[in-house]
Amino acid sequence: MGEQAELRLSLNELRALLRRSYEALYHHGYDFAVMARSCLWLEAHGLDGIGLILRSLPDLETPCRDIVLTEPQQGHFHIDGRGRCLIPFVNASADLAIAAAQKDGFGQVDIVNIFGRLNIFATLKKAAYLNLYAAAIWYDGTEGRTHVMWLKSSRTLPDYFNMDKAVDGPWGRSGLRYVCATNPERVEKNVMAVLSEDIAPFKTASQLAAAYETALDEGIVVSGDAYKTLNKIADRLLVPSTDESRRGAGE
Amino acid sequence: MGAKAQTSDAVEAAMRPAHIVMDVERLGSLYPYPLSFMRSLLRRVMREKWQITPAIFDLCDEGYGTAVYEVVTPNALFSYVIFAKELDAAARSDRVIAQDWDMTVTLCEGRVDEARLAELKANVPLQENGRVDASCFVLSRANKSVRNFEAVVSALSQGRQPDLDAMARVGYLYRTTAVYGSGKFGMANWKKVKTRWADFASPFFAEMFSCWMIRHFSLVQVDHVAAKRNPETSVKMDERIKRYVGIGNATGLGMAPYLINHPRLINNWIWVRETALARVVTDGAVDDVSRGNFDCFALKAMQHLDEISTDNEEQNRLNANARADLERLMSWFKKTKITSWRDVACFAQDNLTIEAQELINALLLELHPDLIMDLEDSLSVNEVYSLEGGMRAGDLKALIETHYDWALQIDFSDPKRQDMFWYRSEEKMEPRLGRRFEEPGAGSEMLLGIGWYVRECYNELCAYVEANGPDMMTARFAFEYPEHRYITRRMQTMAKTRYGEIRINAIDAEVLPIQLLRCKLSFFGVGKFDPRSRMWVRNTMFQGAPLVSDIGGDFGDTWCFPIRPSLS
Repeated sequence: MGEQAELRLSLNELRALLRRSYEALYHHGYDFAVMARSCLWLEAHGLDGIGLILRSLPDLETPCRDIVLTEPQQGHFHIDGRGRCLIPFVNASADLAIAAAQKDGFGQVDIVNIFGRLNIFATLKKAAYLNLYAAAIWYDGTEGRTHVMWLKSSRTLPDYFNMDKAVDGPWGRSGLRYVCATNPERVEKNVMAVLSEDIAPFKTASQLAAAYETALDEGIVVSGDAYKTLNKIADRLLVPSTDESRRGAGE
Repeated sequence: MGAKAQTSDAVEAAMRPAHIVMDVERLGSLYPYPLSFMRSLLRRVMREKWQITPAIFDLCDEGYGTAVYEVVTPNALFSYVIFAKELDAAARSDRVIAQDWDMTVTLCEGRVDEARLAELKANVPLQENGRVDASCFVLSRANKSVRNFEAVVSALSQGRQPDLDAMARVGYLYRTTAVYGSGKFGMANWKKVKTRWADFASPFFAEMFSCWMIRHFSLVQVDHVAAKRNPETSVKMDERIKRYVGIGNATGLGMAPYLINHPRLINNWIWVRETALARVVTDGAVDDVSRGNFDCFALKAMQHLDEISTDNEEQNRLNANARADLERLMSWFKKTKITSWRDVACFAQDNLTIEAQELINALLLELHPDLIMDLEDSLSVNEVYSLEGGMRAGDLKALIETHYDWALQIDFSDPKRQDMFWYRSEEKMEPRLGRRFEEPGAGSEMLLGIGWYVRECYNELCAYVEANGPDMMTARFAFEYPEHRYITRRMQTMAKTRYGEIRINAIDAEVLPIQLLRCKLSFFGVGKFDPRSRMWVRNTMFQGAPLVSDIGGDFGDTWCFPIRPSLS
């Protein structure tokens, strides 16, 4: 079997496919609509959301999760992901920091023992929508790279920094920190503890915006194999047709 | 909530409450009104004098072949591409699951050259099985009403005008069976349409335009076939009859999930309509002109109801009752010196059926276009449903009790209240309804029984508040109960809207999906509902509407409640 030809999907089409895929994986056990939007956000901004899902599939296919949430200090949350993929609970995790920021001006979530961390970036859009400042920071021990996505003042999109060096932090080698604030300085303080002064963004907010505009205009190219894999998952939702089910629904 | 138009305190006070307006029986009784999408669309087309001309018209004597119309608007040039073919009668089906159609079409940006036409020809006739690019933004198909089409061609070819009785019974030459937009099959997303193509930047304008063009082509096609069949004796259809020809439509369960899945948008549509009604009853002048207009619209509506042909006993009963109620109201109206249009609405509310009340509201909405036209720009909304994680769990509980009391009142311990489930069939993912306790598939149920999800969330939340106290953040509740995150953010969002959710238990044993269908169709501007079961309805679009050839001429925007033309 050779590779399937690639397809160009509209954003809406891809979102619908992702929704059905997540719904098929978890039925209504997780917020499948927001999970789909997060993946679409990454994909539409050129950040390979589909690749992230495909790489995480073995974990995503195992629904039972035993994640531990604690709040050692008010507004500072700690989540132990027990080695699981972040995707199913990424939005609920970001909610904690966002809610704390809205309530007390600052919120922080440290998540350890997880993978699929790229997905946290998609949650920054919610912070932007709520006029908050936010950043996500993590060190990938496998790649030896540190990733920072920083939503600065008056921006609807973050700048994405990707550094070829290790920066130790409470996130360890397989975790992340997400900070959110009503005041830009507190977020900046966290970010500048990691970023070098002179580093240029790997992708600027403008580049991310341009990627989105192209995706909106032309759609997103998805490999035939990825399309087939996602559809195969999504199709688990389909119910076989019977004479009874056809009756009364049209002619 | 997304609505830009301003309302006065008096208008605010006149707006009907959510528990009245969002009752699904009432929503299932709505009639089209001046801000319905097809009415708005045609006002724009006529006002801006869009130029619609055939660039390619390559049909054989039987009317099969290709036609491309170029559509020049003030902002851009679009092409409307039609493929008409001979269809085996056995293959003709109005179901989504059909595989072949008499006519397939697309609306796309720009001019269509030979290469592009070949690409479209290879894909558009396949519909769901084909792919188009992001320059296309509607993909649709239609089937002939074979008997009517042939009768009309036969009459015209013999030099006679079509039988108006037959036309009154059927009302169209073609029925659309699906109209796709919003990014399906590779097409442009709604956001692209909205931000790039101003001419179609209102809800469903592109889809409605496509239906209007199918109607146009059907009228051109019958003239063409009749002329080819008998060049010596044939005549063209009288334009008054042409205006009476609409485009048929069959709408089934597929439309129902849309209303439940877009509560903010539907709230907005309802808000616009209710604001318009409140303005008319509050600020609409009662003078000889408006009284005369009301009289004329009522007479027209009565004739319209008389002329609706359906085998559905319940619909016939509703139409007959509405007509009788309208007559009763007009008798009262003629001997009453009303001081405001609110008197009429109140009389209807106190004395008449829900169907008649909404019919009369639709008539009132025709009286003062000057008071409502600015609302036309308020129909879109950015549909964001954000979790308010900082809300206290105790406040979330109170929110549910206040805004979702209707859902909490449903007794789900009674199996009949959860007897149905919605699912996607393996046949083209067609949404269907199954019986939960008798049919397989409930494990793949679609998330449409909103009341049930509200109840589940509420029960867990009560226990959570009991265990943790009311001050815990909603974000923590949603983290610990991820299965309730969606319904929680939905409830938090909708609680801030004026009208909130449609009050329907979509999984009830006695649910009537056609009420949802009619609600949405009324916003499209569709009339003449002919329910074929509780799950699908035939109807007629654009009957009485102006023709393409009317562009540039006088236009009164009074084509509501279409009636049989007088040819004398």
